[in-house]
Amino acid sequence: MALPSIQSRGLLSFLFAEFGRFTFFLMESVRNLFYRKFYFTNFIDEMNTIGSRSLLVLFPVAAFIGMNLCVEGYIIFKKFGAQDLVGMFVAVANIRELSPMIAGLVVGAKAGTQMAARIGTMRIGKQIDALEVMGVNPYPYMILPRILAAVLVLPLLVVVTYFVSTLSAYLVAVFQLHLNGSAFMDLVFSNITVQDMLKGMVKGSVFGAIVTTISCYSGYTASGGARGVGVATNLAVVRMSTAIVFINIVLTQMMFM
Amino acid sequence: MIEYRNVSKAFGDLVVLDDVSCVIPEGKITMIIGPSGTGKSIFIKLLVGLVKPDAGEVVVDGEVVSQMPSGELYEFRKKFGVLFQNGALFDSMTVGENVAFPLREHTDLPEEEIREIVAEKLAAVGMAHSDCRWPSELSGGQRNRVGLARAIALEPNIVVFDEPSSGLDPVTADSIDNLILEMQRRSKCTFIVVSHDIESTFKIADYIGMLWAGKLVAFGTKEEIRTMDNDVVQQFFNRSSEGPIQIVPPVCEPDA
Ligand SMILES: Nc1ncnc2c1ncn2[C@@H]1O[C@H](COP(=O)(O)OP(=O)(O)OP(=O)(O)O)[C@@H](O)[C@H]1O
Ligand SMILES: [Mg+2]
Repeated sequence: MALPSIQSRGLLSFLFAEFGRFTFFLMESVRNLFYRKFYFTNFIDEMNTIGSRSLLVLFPVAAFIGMNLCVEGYIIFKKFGAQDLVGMFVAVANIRELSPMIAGLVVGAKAGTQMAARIGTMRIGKQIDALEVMGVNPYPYMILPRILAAVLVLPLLVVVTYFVSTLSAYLVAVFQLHLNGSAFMDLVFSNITVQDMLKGMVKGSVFGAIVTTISCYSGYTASGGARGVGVATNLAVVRMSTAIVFINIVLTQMMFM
Repeated sequence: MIEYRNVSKAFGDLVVLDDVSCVIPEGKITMIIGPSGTGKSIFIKLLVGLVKPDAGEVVVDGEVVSQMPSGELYEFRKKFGVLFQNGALFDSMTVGENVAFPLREHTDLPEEEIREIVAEKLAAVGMAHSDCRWPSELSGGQRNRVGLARAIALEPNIVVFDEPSSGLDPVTADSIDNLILEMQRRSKCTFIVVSHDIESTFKIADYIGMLWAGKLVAFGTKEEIRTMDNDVVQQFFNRSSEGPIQIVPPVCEPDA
């Protein structure tokens, strides 16, 4: 199925047309969840790509964020003479907010951009047309495996981010700020619940779905040669980072208020 | 049977096809010719349902292509073997995997048999022993030939080639012409070939249709077309820049 093309002019009608195209893309993706064939190898490949591509970047980013979080928390809490409570701050901010968001953004930056560029290149090179003409529905073949893989892998990446950043915060607390290490850990464990953990992971899944859907959509609707692939990749980044920040507000309000 | 019934297609203000009707004869080679940008590729995309007509319908074996739900459309397309302009090979797969792709997707053949078929098809297009190479390592002509092999891998009933020899040297182009002719005579399938090469058209066509300015200005057997008293057709065959066909540069709208 060809996506409806944008022909109208003007910002408002452009936005409407774009929204319509995205809705169409989303509906096709959902509808094909129940397609007669599931491309299991593609799904495994994508999980592997998303995981291995993102991990290397995720480690340092998570570590640095954890360190900063600890220092910032320390500065604020020290004003009240409560610097020993910094472990609580680290624990809560981390699992509820930062870890899911960092994992989502890193997957977007590494795996998402690659998806937009790959799919965009396939669109420009008529490879998607070729796929369709060979009787292969591109949604179950190349879109859904990517989205589902991200939905499954991201919660794990959230957990990894969580452990790495908490560990780095712990190290800063003990070796730089000379706080009591076991008190820090006590606060971490007493202030996160299994529920918080799960909610953080659910956030991760939602971000995974958003990042990959937007990346695939941006590539899938690319047009106009090599320049079009660049535009698609660029659009993917802008759209997904905006979407993540916005959806995060919604999710936090829904889950923790 | 393939029939175009009053098919029209426009992109915005640009009318690409305007009330085109024809019946593509079965078991023959029909060549679609016409100057660049007259909608030859769109003509083909309408046939396989990649583009929907604004008006009219394309009917294949009694079914209206544009009315098929998408699930049926994917089934329906298995009848076709299509070579796109420039091959459209999957660049993440080797040559062998490209040719094997339709077989792996749509048959349950064991791996050895698939490998045999791939080798056979690649040999048929003069690309034997190239299955481990990557599309990016191939020349334009080689890519076209691999595209041909992939298009015929499932032995489809209807074979559609979009400019299989454009941009190739005359010798390679001629070898592809011979290949098409031989494939068709052997399989007796319906072939639709898009071209703007006059020599190759007269060499391999049974029927010729000429598109110009949105209209199918001529359609008939090779002999009918050759002797047709039509300015457009004659200008095209005489390779003349004087006549009704004028090279008009695409218009840029100021606010675009
Ligand atoms: N998706 C599209 N959106 C807008 N215009 C299009 C689209 N696809 C094709 N066109 C226009 O339709 C016209 C016909 O295109 P088509 O690709 O069918 O030409 P063609 O006859 O195959 O030319 P060539 O011999 O150069 O391949 C062109 O003017 C092209 O600009
Ligand atoms: Mg063309």
